[in-house]
Amino acid sequence: MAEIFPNEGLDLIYAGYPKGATGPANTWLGLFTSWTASTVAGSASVIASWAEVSNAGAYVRQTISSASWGTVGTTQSGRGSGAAQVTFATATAVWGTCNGFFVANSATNAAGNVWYGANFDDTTAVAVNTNDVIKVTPSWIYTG
Amino acid sequence: MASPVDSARATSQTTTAGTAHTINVGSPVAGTLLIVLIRFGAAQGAITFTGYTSIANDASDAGAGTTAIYYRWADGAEGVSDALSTGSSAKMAAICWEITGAANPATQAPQVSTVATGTTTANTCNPSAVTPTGGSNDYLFLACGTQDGEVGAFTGAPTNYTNLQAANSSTGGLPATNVQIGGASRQLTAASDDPGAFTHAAAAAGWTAFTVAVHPPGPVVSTKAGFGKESG
Repeated sequence: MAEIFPNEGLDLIYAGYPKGATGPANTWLGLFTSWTASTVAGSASVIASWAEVSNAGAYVRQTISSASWGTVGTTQSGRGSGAAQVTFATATAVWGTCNGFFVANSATNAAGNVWYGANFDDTTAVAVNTNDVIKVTPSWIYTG
Repeated sequence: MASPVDSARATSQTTTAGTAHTINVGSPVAGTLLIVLIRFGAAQGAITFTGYTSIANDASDAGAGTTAIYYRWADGAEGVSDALSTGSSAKMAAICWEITGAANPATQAPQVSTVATGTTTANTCNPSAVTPTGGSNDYLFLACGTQDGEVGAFTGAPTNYTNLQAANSSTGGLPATNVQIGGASRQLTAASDDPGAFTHAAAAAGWTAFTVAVHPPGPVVSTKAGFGKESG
């Protein structure tokens, strides 16, 4: 699998330290169909390159509140935190083949900045058809 | 989601009354739903059809035999036919539908209407409405009609139904010991369906009809996890 904090995601991190900005109250989880089940965008990527699922068939980004993120803990290679499982609405049309998810700063489809994006950790894409449901548990890791 | 597909049909007949019957099922691949409609020409007694589950069994029309409907989730080992036995000798005719893209009956079995019966008037064999559980969905509906006699062939499907399939037990012996059956299918997104009447000639004594609803596969729930990583 692959994952990345693109430059605009790193900007968020650096705005917190050393610049002292307050973190966002909410972020939003989206699904992308670009790339593959084991590759993602590069550092300079912006939302347009992630080919988000179309804003139809009941697809909308799902809100992750800051409180949803768990306590930062030690991982095998640094520090990490996970959010509660997010359940997207039941698809009322074909969404296509989703290769992973991203966390963004906007609730609006195909808009905003991508803080980070990743494949699913089983590197298996999900073909979301009508009446299907997809649930995603996002997490992130800082490695020193 | 899409409606299940009426992929193929196989017919069978027992032309000389007996207790051992062969039901042709085609050569279904694993994961195919088989629906078998049978009518017997006489009181057949206990039916043994191993591997199949009954969803309808009715002998209330004025004819002597029973109309029965069975289903099976194919495992690929069926071959081209399966054996059915009856407690008493009878002729029979059967239609086996091979249906792809259907729900596994272990999760959602096909559902059948209440029985409809009639007597000898042509073009009156009219299955009742079926309202499957689950509300509006992409169903495959099967209209099923049977009657006794040897001249009342099914020649036209109910309105909006296609793939008319007819079968019979031939014309040996007394007319009332023989049977005529017919079936047709319709893919429809709806909460229910009520087929109209088949086109057929008169029964010797009576007809019986059902509507079967075949469910599409249920929704797939995918549970995924992933992580972003910022490397130093």
